[in-house]
Amino acid sequence: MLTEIIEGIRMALGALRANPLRSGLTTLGVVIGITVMVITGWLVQGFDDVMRQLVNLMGTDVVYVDRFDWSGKTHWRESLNRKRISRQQTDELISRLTVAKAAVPMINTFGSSLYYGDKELSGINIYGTLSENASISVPSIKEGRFHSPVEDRFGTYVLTIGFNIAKEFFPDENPIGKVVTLRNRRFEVIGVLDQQSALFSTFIDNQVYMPLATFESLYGARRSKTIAIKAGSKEALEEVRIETRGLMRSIRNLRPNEKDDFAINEVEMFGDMLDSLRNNLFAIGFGVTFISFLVGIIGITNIMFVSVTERTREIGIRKAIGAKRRTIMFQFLVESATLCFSGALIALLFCSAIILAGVNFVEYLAEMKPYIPPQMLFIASLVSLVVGLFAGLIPAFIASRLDPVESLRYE
Amino acid sequence: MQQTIIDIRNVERVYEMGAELVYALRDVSLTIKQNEYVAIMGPSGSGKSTLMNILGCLDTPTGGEYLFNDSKVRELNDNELAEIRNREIGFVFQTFNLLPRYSALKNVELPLIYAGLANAERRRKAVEALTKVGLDDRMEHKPNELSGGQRQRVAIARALVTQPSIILADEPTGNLDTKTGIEIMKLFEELWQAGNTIILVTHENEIAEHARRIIRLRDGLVESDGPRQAATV
Repeated sequence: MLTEIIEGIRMALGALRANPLRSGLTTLGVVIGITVMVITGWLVQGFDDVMRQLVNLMGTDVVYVDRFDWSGKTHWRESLNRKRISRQQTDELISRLTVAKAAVPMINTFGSSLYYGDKELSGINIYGTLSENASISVPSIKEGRFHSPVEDRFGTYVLTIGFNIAKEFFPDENPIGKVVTLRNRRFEVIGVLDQQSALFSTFIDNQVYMPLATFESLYGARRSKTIAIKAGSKEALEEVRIETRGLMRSIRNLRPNEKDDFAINEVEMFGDMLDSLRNNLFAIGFGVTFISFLVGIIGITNIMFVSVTERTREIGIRKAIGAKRRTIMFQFLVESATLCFSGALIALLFCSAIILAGVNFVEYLAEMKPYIPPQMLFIASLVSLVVGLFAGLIPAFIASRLDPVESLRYE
Repeated sequence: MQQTIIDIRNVERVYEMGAELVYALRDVSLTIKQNEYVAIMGPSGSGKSTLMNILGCLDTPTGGEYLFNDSKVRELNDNELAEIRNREIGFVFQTFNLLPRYSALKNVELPLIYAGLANAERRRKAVEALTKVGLDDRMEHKPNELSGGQRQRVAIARALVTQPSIILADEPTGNLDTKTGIEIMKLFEELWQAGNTIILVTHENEIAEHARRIIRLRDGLVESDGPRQAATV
């Protein structure tokens, strides 16, 4: 049996070598299918990394009281009609919380531009918060420090900048102490945050933190606040949520029959959004893969039919000297499996090229790890083999049933 | 008394051509014993090719009985037939029927691959067979690098390599020039002398004269069956 397998593979490779162009074109469907599959796998893996990092960095035991429902379940227009969460309500909530370990107000705005020298970065996510937040929801500090209570009190123009900003502005210098400009104000950089995400780093790591008072002097004090509440442990989360909800309803003077006009968010809810993005990506990838494989199977089945017809006489000879039906069947199955498998190898080369190109030339993917996930290697090989066997089934069966006398007569 | 290898009784082979029944073989009975050298002769359409296919277990009769080494061929399934072809029968064809992509050695090894022999054993036997037909210096050549006579020798080596009960040769010199044909017939003679059983299918008298027994077919029936005429020896 082993002899037959080795011989089968050797024969198949010989047949492929005899028709390299035809074989190459035939496997195109499989090549595309495997390529899309692996690239999708790579992106999904990136997404999962982002999720894990986000949850870890922002804390699994932190909830955010906000006007907006991050999971997207409440319509944004309804959220917009809600009353703002004022600084006063924020302070009242924080002072009345008993179960939570710590709580801090924060505000953010998105879209401003940041300048350093003649460099500009747009689409910056700007946070104003108090110094305590360093141990609640602010990502860990890579170098320098977060702003202090004193800077909070005076509303000093200091910034802790995101990883990507440091990378763009200060590729070769120490960012600490440098002066950057935001809304025509000059800010001193006092700290740099750790990278938060490999995928979309240019988006997620484009953030700055400043004292809450500074933020309010820049953007006004009327903006709706978010309160970050640290439960202390995952177990305490439910208690904290119940207490927070009760307190907020009382602070916002809601009657018992009124709906909440605020949301208690968790990072995982933010993850729901990413999750649906991930699932869409997966579905599209799967769809394209499926169709490519379908085309691939048809192509390979077709070429196997051609191969069987071309080699009718050879089949006759083999049968005359003692090849059994299963031997012939096996020979053609191995051939189509080998054909598909070489397609998979070509696809993996393609994938490596695409991934390398993506990491080097696409901004959003710049921080992704340029490697093919090992489980994708396994799946790609397996799928290509299965597709090959499936595609070769009917031609191989027909070949195995050919009448030896007729085949030997075939010209 | 030599052992009987082939014993066919009242064998009939009918083809359906549309609504018509075509009798390729009507009623053929014969026995062939070990170490016989038989020629089956007849004009085209006489049924000699059909008979050869049946003797070679490539085809099965539609009527009558075929005993090969005492087993009833009609009762064998496809796999068992393949096994008999592999172990007991060595084919030599008019058009050689070698696999063009394989070297001479590989072509000769092929039946042994199907017999499930290990690599080293296979190689040893194939080399031995090729040496026997005088091609030990051409083993790595592919068929298109060999002359017609050499190709037929490779085919004979392939037929020999499994040490079959019979060698079935169908017009083995049909595609060769006279001189090469004579050489090939000499080789068959040697193989016969060495103890092999040979069945030769041909329409040429000169070729048939090499055999020790000649069976003539006509219209699907045995016309004559007997030792070759002493006069032509």
